[in-house]
Amino acid sequence: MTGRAAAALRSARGPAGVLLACALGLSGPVGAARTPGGTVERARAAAAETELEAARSHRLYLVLDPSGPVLDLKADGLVLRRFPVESAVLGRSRLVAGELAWPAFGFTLVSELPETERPRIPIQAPEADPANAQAPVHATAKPAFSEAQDAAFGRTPTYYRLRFDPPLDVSILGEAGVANLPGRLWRARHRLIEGWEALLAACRGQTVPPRVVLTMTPDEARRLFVTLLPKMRLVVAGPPSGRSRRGAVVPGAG
Amino acid sequence: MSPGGDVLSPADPAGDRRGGAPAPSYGAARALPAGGRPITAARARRRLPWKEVLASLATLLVLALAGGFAGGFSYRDLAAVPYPAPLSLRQADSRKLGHQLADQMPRGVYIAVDTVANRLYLKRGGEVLREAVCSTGTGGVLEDPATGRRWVFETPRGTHRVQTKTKSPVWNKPDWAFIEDGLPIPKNAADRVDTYSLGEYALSLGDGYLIHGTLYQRLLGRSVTHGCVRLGDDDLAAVYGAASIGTRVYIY
Repeated sequence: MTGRAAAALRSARGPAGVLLACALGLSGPVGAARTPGGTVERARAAAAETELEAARSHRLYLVLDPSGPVLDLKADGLVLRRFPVESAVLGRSRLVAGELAWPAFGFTLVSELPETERPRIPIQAPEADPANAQAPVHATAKPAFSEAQDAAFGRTPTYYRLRFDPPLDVSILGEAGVANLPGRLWRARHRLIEGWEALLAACRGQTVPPRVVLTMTPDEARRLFVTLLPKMRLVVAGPPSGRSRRGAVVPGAG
Repeated sequence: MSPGGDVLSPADPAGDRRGGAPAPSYGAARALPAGGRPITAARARRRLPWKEVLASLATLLVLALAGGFAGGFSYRDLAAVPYPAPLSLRQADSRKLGHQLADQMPRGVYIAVDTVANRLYLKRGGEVLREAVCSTGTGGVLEDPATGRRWVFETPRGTHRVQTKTKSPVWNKPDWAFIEDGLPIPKNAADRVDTYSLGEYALSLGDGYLIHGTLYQRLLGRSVTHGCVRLGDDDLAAVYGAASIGTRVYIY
């Protein structure tokens, strides 16, 4: 029963009061979001504050909207690129006690990003013809070299795990056919390995961070990988308006 | 049988004797021991303690699954995961913060460069005013064999601003331009001046990075530059006309 319903019950005794209280009580979740200090509003405000901090840095940052699910590359509050996410889940090792919840609204990438494979630029032999020697050097780009660059992009990983602080792991699974057999087998193997990793970490007294698993197409996974920057911020978007009516969970809202 | 119990050696005479009656030959499956009759694959199979092997494998599998399950992750749909309880913020903060976030966005036009797709977008708010094919950095490395100096030709990702705008820009060629072409680095500064490579206009982003034109428009759309952003003539003129000093440039 909401505060409004209880107040109505106190002020209006009898059947009319009960009916009024029931009518107000039915609008509970929506009312909770609208009450001063409502948890949905506070979660939204906290997420907005975290994003504002990221935007003020004038650096590129990522925003993960759990309700989409969508991952946006942003700067200064602008969406520069949207990474479509096929599925998004958040999990935690069974060895960790307590209720599963987002650890924070903002995270900083702490994974060391592997150095991109860089093709070596060949040094040209000087032209014998003086007219050609005057040709602009930087404009004589080699298409073959560009193709080597494209091939290097093709070798960018499609499965990888990113570490954030406060402790959060984000696994990117770049698999187009989520429901196909190789994908399921890979995922089963992946779950087994991560279970053992968590078990060993717990045995060593290390904390096992919660993990977000985002599934997207291999191409999007590659695009995301090349977009990453050291110390990049990841912000979890707050609940959208009317979220409580669609079954999303906020603390204290049931 | 070897001391280890399960290891089968083709040269083990005892093992060979236990084989019993000669088995049919399977051609390529046969192995010749050092001084005896060939051991066939069928005979070798007969001597493996299958029950023990299977039991060991099953135990390992159960242990692997049990360990994986015990430490394993239980997942929930992202939309169903509760948010952390923010204690310090009030309801009214949400709207105010939203306005402050909107204030961070550029008010006028801005430029976004997608280095993977080699596309440049001239935008205002969410509206795309112009989409242009461009060329961005190769990401390649050039090393000077004489001195060991090294250059990485990458378009710098992040947020930038247009710092200067120049008509008929002149390129003061750096050392790498000569090294890449196998030419000696000139001692005279005048020999570095190039008046035709950058096209009609240039917009500087700082640190020597420019948005400029190109003589080789057939290479637009490919990652072929030394870090600058090259545009075709018409697109360059449009971007030059729309952008002003301080216009934000987002490269990703």
